[in-house]
Amino acid sequence: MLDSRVIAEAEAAIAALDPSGPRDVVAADLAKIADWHRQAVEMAHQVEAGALALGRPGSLNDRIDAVRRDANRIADGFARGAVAFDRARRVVLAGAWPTRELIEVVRSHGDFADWLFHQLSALVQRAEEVTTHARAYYDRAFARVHADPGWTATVAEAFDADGNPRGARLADLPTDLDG
Amino acid sequence: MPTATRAVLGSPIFRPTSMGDIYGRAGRLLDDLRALPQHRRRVAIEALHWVTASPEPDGISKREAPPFPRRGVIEAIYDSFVIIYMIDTDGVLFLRVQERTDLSIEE
Repeated sequence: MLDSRVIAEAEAAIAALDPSGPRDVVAADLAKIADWHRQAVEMAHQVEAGALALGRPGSLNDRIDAVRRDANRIADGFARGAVAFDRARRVVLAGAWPTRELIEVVRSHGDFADWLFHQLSALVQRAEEVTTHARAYYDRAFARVHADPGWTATVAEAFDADGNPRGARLADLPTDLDG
Repeated sequence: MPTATRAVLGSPIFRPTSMGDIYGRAGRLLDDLRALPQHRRRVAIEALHWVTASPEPDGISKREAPPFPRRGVIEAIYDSFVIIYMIDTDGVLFLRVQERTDLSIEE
C-alpha cells in the first residue's frame, strides 16, 4: 500500500533543511532525507509493479507503459539522490566540506529531490486513475466471458471425471511451444 | 437391460469420461497453445509468465472464477487471452488459455 505521507514529510524535511546549522543536526537531517529517498524508491517500484499487474487492457496499454517507464525513471532518480545525501552526510560528519560548498550541493540536491517528489506525487495519481479505468475495462471483459454460454464447458473440460484439474506448469511446457 | 449389456456398461471401459481424461495429464492446455498462430502463441506464453510472476487474484485482471464447476479456479485476462489456472503447493497449474475477440470492445 502506497503511503502518500512519505511525499509530504520528505518535502517538508527538504524545505526545513539548514545546511549552515550545527554539524550533527545537519548530518541527522541529511540521513533522514536519504531515508525518505529510499522509501520513495520503494514507492516508485510499487507503482511500477502495480502497473505491471494491470496486464494489457486494450486501449489503456500506452498509459500503463508510460506509468511503468516513469516509475522506473523516478526510482532511479531517488536511488541516486539517496546516495548523494548519504555522501553529503558522511562529508558533514567528517568536517571535510566547507559550509558554503555544502550549502550549494545540498541546495542543488534538494531542488532535484523536490522536483522528484512532485513527480512521484503526480505518478501516484496517474497510477490510481489508470487502475480505476483498468478495473472498469476488466469488469466489462469478465462479464462478456461469463455471459458466453460455452464458457462453463470450457472450464469444465479442464477437469477429469473425478474433478481433478488437468493442466501444465510453465516450466513443464514443451520447448516447441516457445515460438 | 440384458445382463451382458449391464456388465459392459458397468465395466471400467465405459466409465463416464470427461474431456480432461481424453486429453491426458496436461488436459486441453497444450492444444489451446498449439492451435494459436506463432505470433499469438508468443503473447500467450508471455501471459503465462505474467500470471506466474504474481498469480494471486487481485480483483482487477486476475479474479476468482465462479464456483461452478469447481472452486479454487482463477481467471486472468491478458491482452486478448483468458487464462484459467489454479494455485497449489507446487505453484501455478495452468488449465486453459483461450483467445477471444470480445474482450476489448469499447462501450
